[in-house]
Amino acid sequence: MKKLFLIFLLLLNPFTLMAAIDERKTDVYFANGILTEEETAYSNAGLLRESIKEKFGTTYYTQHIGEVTYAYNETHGFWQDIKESGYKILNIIEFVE
Amino acid sequence: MNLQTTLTSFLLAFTLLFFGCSSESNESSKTENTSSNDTNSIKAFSNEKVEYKASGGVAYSWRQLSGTTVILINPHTDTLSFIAPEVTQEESLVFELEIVKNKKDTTTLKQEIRVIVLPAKSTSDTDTTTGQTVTPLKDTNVTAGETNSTNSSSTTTSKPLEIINGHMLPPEPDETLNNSTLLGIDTNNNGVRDDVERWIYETYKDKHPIYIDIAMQAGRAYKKVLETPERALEIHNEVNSATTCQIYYKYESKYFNEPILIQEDAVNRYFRLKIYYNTKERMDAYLQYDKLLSGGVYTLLEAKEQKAQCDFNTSKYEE
Repeated sequence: MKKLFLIFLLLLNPFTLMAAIDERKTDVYFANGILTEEETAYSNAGLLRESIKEKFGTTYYTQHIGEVTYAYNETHGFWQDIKESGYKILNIIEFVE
Repeated sequence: MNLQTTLTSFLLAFTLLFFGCSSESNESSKTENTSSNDTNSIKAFSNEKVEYKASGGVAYSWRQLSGTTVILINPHTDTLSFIAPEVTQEESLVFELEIVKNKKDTTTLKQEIRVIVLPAKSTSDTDTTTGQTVTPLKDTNVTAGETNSTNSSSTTTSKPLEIINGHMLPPEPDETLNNSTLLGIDTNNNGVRDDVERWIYETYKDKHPIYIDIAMQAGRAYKKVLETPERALEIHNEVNSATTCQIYYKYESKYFNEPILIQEDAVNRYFRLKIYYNTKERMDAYLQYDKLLSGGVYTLLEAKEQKAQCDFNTSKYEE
């Protein structure tokens, strides 16, 4: 009986996960540019959220936008950042620091 | 034989004369200076100006460790100077002196000075010439183990206390001493380095007071980066709290029928890189912290939760 209950719980888990993700909403991801430290990236993500609200209105934002998230990529200095950007443009995935 | 007797008598007389003078000299000194272990003690009466001169370094910093809080006059000079507080019974005030020996070797020496404050003298003891009772303290050298003392010729010049928006600014710290440690000097122990605090108040004095509140919050939060940069992921939200608060008052407050109070960032790149992390060591700690956050994905707080990140009383800005 105990095992059955556990199996039931395990089966239920994916449904609860799905419930947490609202498919009707779009999550926004912000990726920082060069020479940006984390707190600036954070601040810029805040600006992006405000820009969406300004452009589409708060009603649209509430109904269609989910979380605003930023993926932070540290700076290595100007030339190294340019090099990294170049690699990405050329689609060279294996970027080595 | 006669010559030997004469010489002995002469030596004896000279010795007596020498020690006699020395003893008299000590008696004439009114400084009550005692030394026990590593702590020098001086006595003063309530409301008297206390001055205690140190030497043996190129930079000095005084801070109070215990007792009734007093306002130190120019705490980054060689002289400990303050007005003794009003006491009804004897009280000890303990001060710590940090001395930087020389500019090349920024190692600091520490020494404790104890000031025993006695209840005010009767009026008959008051110095009528100045109208104020002044403790006749002698220049007492605190050499802190220095033998080849490089005594600076700095003299104590009283600077007027600076008050901005009702806040008394800490004195400008000595640059060498302030930058000799990661955390620097924080005379008023409010969690923000003195040079940073002064910059914040002087830069934002003409702006809305929330600029100062937010920047001071950042100053307190950034201290954690200097203390434990390796704990970047744990302290990250707290370190960013001032920016979170700033985002609220820059963008979000209007959606909650509150005024937009921030137009330009109070906490920005310049503040971080040029003012707060202003030495190589501080910048290294910051870069270590920043590097550890790289590769992470972080979600912005919902607007309604952002306001709670302000660590000061925000109700005063609500109309």
